[in-house]
Amino acid sequence: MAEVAVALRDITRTFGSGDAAVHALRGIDLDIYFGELFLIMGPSGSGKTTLLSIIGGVLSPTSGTVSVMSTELTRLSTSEKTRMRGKKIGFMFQEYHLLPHMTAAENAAIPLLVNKEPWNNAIKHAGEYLADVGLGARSSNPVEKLSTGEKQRVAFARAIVHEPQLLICDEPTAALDTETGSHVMGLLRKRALSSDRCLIVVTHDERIVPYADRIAYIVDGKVTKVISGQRKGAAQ
Amino acid sequence: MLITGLDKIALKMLIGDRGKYIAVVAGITFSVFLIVQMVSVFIGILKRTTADIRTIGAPVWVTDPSIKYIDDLQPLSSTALNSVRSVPGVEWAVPLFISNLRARLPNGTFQSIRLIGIDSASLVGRPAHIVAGRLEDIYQSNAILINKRGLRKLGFPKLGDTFEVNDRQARIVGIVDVETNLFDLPIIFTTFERALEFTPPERKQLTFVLVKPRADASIARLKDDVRRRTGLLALTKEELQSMTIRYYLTQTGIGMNFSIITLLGFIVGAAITGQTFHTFGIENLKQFAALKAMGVGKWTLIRMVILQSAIVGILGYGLGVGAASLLLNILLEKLPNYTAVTPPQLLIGTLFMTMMICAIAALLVLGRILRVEPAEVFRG
Repeated sequence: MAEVAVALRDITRTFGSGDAAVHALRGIDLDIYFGELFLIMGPSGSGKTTLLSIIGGVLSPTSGTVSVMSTELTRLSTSEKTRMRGKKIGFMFQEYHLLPHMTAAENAAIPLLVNKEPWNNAIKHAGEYLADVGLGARSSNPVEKLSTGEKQRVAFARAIVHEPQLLICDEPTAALDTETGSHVMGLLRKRALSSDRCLIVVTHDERIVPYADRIAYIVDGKVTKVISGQRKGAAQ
Repeated sequence: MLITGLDKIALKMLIGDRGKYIAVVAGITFSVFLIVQMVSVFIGILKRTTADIRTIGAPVWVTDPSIKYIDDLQPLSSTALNSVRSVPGVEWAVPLFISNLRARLPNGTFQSIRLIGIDSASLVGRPAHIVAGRLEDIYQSNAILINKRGLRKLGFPKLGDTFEVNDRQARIVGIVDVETNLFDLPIIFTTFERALEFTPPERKQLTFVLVKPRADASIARLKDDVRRRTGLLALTKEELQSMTIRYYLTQTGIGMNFSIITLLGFIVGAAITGQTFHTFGIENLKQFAALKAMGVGKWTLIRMVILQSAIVGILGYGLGVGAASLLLNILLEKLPNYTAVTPPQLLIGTLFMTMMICAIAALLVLGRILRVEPAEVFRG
C-alpha cells in the first residue's frame, strides 16, 4: 500500500454566516496516496474547487484537519503555508494565469525563482521542461503569442518545474479539444506522477476519467462515492 | 541590494504593460518638470530681490528700524553716519545712497534706473567686475559706471557717451558686470556725493550706513550697541537678505501664486501616477494572486511593488529634472529677462516629493494585492 500524501478528516467549509451561510463542504474524509492520479468530479457548486483550495493550502477549512505530505496545514501560519506551497505544491490553474508580456520560459521559471534559484539557471531549467512538453522552440516567445494549447503546456511546465510532490490541477482540459486533452493527460501522468508524487485533478470533463487511478464524486459538499479508474497511460 | 529573480519578474510586469508604464512615468515626469521649473523661476526671482545686497557686499547694514526689505528705502539723517562710527566694535562705517530715478536718453525717451552712490574715499560697495573702462575714472566729472545688462535698456551707449539724470549729465566711464535686480533696472554706480547731485534735494539723504565690525567684535553685541546708541537697526548681510526674501514671500502674491501652481503640479502628477499605478495593480490582481498561490510571500510582494514604484519614480524624476534643466537652460540663454536658479536643495526636495507620490501609489496598490486571497485563482 502506498503512503498517504493527502489526508482530509471531517473537513467543513462555510462561507458567510447566519441565514446567508453557504456550507460548501460538509464533512469530507479522504485519503489520497503517493503515485496516484486522483480525480475530483461533481456538478458545478458541489464544492470541488473549495476542496482543491483547501488541499492546496490557499484556503483554510472551517473545521477538520488537512494533512499534506505529513504536515498538518491547519497548524501552519500563513507564511509557513506560503513557503510550503512554494516548495512542495505545483498549481495548474484553469485560466492558466500566466504573466503577460513575459516569455514562456520566464513564466515557467517562476516557481524556481520563488525558491531563489538564480535567474539564468531558472530560465535554462524552465527551457528544458518546456522542451519536454514540446515547446522548446517557443520558450522565448511571449505567452500572448501562444495558442491555448501551448499556454496550457507552459502552465503545465510551470506547475512541475520545481518537481513538487503534490500537483493540483483545476480543469486542465476544459478549453482543449479531445486530442489535445488526451495529450495533456498523458503528459501529466508521464511527467508529474511517480511513487513519491501525487496528482489531484478537479474536472467536469468525462473524457479524462479513463486516466485516473481513483475518482471521487462530490455532491452538495459531500463525497458520495470513490471509485477506481482505468489508469490509462499508466506505466505497465 | 541584490536584484532577485522575482524582482526581475516585477520589472517585466511593469515594463511589459507599455501603455500604463509610459503613463505612470509621464505623470511623474510632468509633476517633477513643473515643480522644478516653477520653483527654479521662483527662486531666481527671490534671488534677484537681494541682488544689490550681494553686489554691495558689506558685512553689516545699518538702517531705519522700520525697514521691511532692501527696497523699502527709509532715508537716515546724515548724523547717523558719525553716530554709527562711534559705536564700539565698528572698524569702519561708510555711507551708501540708493534711489530709483529716471534717466533721459539722447533720443528723448525716459528709462527708470537704480542709482547707487558709494563712499568716494573707500569705494566700499563698488562692483567687483569691471568689464570695460577703469574704476578710478569714477572720480572724473559726472562719471558713472553702468551694468552691462542695463546697456540694452539705455540704447547700447558706449564708454564716454552721456545721458541725463535729473537734468544733469551722466557720462559712462566704466561698464560693470553685476547681478540683475528684481525689475532688471539699469544699475548706475557713482560716488555718494555725485549721487546726491543726481537726486532731487531731500532732508535726509543717507540710505544705509555700511559697517565692518572689528575682527574681535561680537556681531550680536555690535547690533545691540547700534540700537542702544543710535536707535537704528543693524543687520548682517544675511539677515537683510532673509528679511527681504521673507517680505516678498509673505507680503506679496508671488509666494502664494507660485505655491499654488507648484501644488497643482504635485496634485496632477500624483493623481495621474496614483490612478494609473492603481489600475495597473488591479488589472494584475489575478496574476498577483497566482504568485501568492505559487508561494510568493507577503514581504516579497511588497518588495516587488516598491521596486516597481521606485523604478517609475526614479525614471520620472530623471526625465522631469532633465526636461526642466534643458528648458531652463534654453530660456536663460535666449531670454535676457528670464531668471531661474535650481539649487541642490530643490532637486533633493523634488526627489523626496517624487518618492512620496510613488509611496502613495504603491500603498494604494499594495492594499489591494495583500488583501486578495490566493484562492481567487481557482475562481473563474
